[in-house]
Amino acid sequence: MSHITLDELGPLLSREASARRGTLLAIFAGVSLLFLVVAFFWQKKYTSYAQLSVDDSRIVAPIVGAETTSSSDQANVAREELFNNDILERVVSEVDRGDGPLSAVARERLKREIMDNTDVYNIDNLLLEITYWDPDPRVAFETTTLFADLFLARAMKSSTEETSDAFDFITNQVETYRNKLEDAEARLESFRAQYPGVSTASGVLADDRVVELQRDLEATQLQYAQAEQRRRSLERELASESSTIARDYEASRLAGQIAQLQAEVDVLRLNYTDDYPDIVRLNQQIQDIRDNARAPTGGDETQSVFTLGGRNYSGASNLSPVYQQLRSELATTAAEADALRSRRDQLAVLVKNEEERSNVSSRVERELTELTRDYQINKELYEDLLRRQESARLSMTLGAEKQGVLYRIVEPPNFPVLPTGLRFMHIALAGIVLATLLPFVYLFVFLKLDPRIRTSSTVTDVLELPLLTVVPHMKQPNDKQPMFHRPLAIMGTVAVVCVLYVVVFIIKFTLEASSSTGGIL
Amino acid sequence: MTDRAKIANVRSMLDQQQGKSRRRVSKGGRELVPTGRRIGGSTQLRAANDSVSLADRARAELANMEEAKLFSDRQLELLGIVHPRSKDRALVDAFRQLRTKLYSLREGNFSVLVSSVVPQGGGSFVGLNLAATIAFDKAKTSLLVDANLHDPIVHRLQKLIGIENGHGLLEYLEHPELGIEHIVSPSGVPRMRVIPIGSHAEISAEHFTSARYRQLMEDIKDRYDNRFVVVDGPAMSTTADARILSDICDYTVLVVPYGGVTPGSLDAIVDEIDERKLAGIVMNDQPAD
Repeated sequence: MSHITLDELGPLLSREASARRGTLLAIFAGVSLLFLVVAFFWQKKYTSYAQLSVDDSRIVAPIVGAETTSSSDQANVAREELFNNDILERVVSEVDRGDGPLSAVARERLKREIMDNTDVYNIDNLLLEITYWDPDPRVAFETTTLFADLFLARAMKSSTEETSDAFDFITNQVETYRNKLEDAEARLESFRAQYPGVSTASGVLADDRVVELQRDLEATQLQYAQAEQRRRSLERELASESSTIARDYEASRLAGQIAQLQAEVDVLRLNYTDDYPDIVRLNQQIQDIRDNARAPTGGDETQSVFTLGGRNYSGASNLSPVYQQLRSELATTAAEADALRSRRDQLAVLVKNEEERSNVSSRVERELTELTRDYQINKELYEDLLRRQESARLSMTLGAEKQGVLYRIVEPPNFPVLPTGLRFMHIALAGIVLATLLPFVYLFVFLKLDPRIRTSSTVTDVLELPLLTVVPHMKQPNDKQPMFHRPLAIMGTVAVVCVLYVVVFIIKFTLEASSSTGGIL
Repeated sequence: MTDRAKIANVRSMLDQQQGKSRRRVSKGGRELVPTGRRIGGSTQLRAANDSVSLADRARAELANMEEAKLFSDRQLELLGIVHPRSKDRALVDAFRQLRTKLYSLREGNFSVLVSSVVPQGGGSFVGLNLAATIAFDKAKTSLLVDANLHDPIVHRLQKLIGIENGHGLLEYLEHPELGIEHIVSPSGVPRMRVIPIGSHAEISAEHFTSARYRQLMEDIKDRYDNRFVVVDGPAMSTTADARILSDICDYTVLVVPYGGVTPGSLDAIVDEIDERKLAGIVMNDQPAD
């Protein structure tokens, strides 16, 4: 890289440009003529396009219940279908390109060209655009039309096939599931016949009852223990009461009788003497009682004996009310205890039975649940499939009547009137601009890359040497300039290039005006 | 245009003027055509032919010069030598600037070696014109010593003004009996003298390392206070001569052809020269804007 300061750049460029006039002129002429030739032979592009709306909800999707194809590669799929050999063959043979019958090689080449010139885009997953360009607008239009039609026909056909395939598949599946369902049903029925009255809820009830019985049993046991305890204490009480309390009671009763009789005697004595008959009788009676009391109590025959709770109670004790009350209580308690014991035993048996029954029923119940579940699932699947089969049948019918189409032409192919892309004018203009700019670019790049000393700043700034002077080129009176350094030659060349541009422009314009295709250069 | 080509130009004019045959002219022209420099060369013959009228005019002028031993302005222009009346002001000013800068280096006269960095770099052109520019001043004289063994030019100038078979620098160095007055001769430019290279049996740089050469340089500088000595040396990149010559001169001026040398190679050559003697760089042959 050579050292060029900013204020040196202008003079340097102008110096070098004038010293290299020939080279710059050659670049200018070369580039401009090259672009002119390219522009002249450049084929205009006439682009025709058709837009198809894509019905993404394919028939298969509702049938199978899942996304079958992701729509992102729809353009690729469409391209694959479009470049099918059948379609290409038809396009080649049906679109008149005005070059007569073609050889096999030429056909192949044409097919490849058509493929190259065709593009399929996917616009927002909603529209499918087929574009085709050709130098001839008519060919472009016809090809695009044919492409769109053939593509539609093909898509329709393939979708019908798809639907009927799907329908067959579904029908098969329906059959299979119906068999399965029937099988499950039969098994369930035979099981129910084997275990009548078993339901999925009976197990719960049995368990509840066991729990209830057990609770009852425990309560009874508690009550029984309580009654037993009471019976035992009553017995104890009774045993002690029978010997003492009964005797005291007898003595006091006798004493009472004596006292009563004595009182009568005392009253009578107030009026009568001791030998009053009544008094004598009363004393007699008192004496009898006393004798009676004094007499030994060993006379067992006088006492009744009864047994209660395995114990004997003497009849004499009957006389005591407490004793009698105790005895009656004891009897009640004993009866109660006996009843409770028998209830407890009964309950224990019941619990045992219930538990056994519950074990059996849970096993049966499991089996029943399994069978029921199987049946339920099969049933659901079968019903679902039936529904799908119906919708598939509908789709198929729609497809057959061309009602539920996948693709629909939104925008029919247009007849391209204006060419698209680069045209003669563009290239020619670019040629002139580039031909003007490139020589200076070349010059600048050359000066920047060439390290040789051309500026005084290189000597003074880079090498830091004193620069005495810069001697300009000495003009000689008989200096001969090379031909293309002469101003006339330069002007002449530029003029020739301009004239060539104009001439080619006119030729091109005339050609286009005479041709049927027309168009703006 | 190289010095050789320019001289050939004038030579062919003179040939015509002396009525020599056209065929011989073309032959001579071709022989003198140098190889490989920009303008001139191949168009030399045509240039000579085209300027017949010019040559006619020069013929008359040269007749005068034969006596005065001076070139006319026209001839100087054809030879590529500047003169104060030149219309090419830029060129004359460049050499005046060079001269002034050299004067400013010291008081009094000096000897300066002018040498190109690369061959065909215009060292002789700058040396010749520097000597001519110094001689613009009527109070000063210049002496151009041709020490360019590879590409001498002074003897051709001399031939043009009719001095032939004169002695030169190499004879002087080889033959002690020769005096300075035998080798210093007029140049065709007022107040400018020259010492040609002379005929040389062998080309050797050893001549310049001799004491006699050193003595010569001192003598020619010291003889006149107002005489400035310009030594035309060979290209720095090819031989060691230039460096030896630089040691003996007071100053060295390096001529860098425009767009012909990279900074690296210039730097390498500068490194070999005594820094105190390097007067500076002259960039030569910059194209016109």
